[in-house]
Amino acid sequence: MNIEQQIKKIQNEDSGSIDTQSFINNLHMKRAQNNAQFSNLVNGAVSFCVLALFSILTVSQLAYEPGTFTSTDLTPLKEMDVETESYVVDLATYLVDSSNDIWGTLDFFDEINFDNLIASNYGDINE
Amino acid sequence: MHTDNELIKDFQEGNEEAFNELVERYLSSTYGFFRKFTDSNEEAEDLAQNVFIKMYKALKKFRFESEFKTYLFRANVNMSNTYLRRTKWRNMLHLDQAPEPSFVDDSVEDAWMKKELWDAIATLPKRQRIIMTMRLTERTPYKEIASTLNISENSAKVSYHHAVNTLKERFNK
Repeated sequence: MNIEQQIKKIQNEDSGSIDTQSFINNLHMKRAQNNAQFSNLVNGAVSFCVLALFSILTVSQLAYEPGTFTSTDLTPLKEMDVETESYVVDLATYLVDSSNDIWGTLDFFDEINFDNLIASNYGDINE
Repeated sequence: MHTDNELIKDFQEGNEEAFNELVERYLSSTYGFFRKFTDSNEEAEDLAQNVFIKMYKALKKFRFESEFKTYLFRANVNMSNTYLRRTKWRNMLHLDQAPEPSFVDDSVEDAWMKKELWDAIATLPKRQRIIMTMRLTERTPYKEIASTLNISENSAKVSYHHAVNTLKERFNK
């Protein structure tokens, strides 16, 4: 390639002309579009951050094991034999009939500590 | 008629028309600059728009430490380097579209030679690249180049000749 010749060729090229007013209009339109795109991008990024934070919080809550929780251990009931069960049912029926108050009966079972009652009943049976 | 600095001050105070006047003043040279190495009116217009959009943001914080003309020219050179880097990758990825030597006519060959030359200019050291670009696009006199780059006129001439020699060596390999 002849560099000097190529340089002269480029220097002598006609650069052409451009419509100034339409250029300025397009320029401001493009600038507004760029600004809108930028704010969309910022909004998207903020939304993503909020979602990510929410997801992290949710996952951490699911993994969290609280100190106190409702027991799902039904061992005492499982261990109840037919005799004990009928004894408890009879007792409960008698209490409900005599007091006409289901909630009062339940409170009573709570008060006498139902688990211990079963245990002691076992003791009685076993003796 | 307002000077560039007066227009910039007006723009900084919120007068959008002052910015439009600056664009009108320098559009022809900026567009001409990009038109020299893009071979496409659309691409040249696009690049000129990108430069003026950057100017719109930058002029709000302009501190009048250099002339606007110099500032704009540096922005043009930076934009042209970005463009040349981008098209270099594009050309590398579309090598199959390069014309076969036996089928090309003069205009296509010229366009490719021009592209090759601009790609080579993009790899020159910074000062040589800027001087070469100024000479090629606007035939800027060495005196003006020297004042723009804050160097002596002789230094500008030497850099230009170094650049030409480097390009010759590259294409004669």
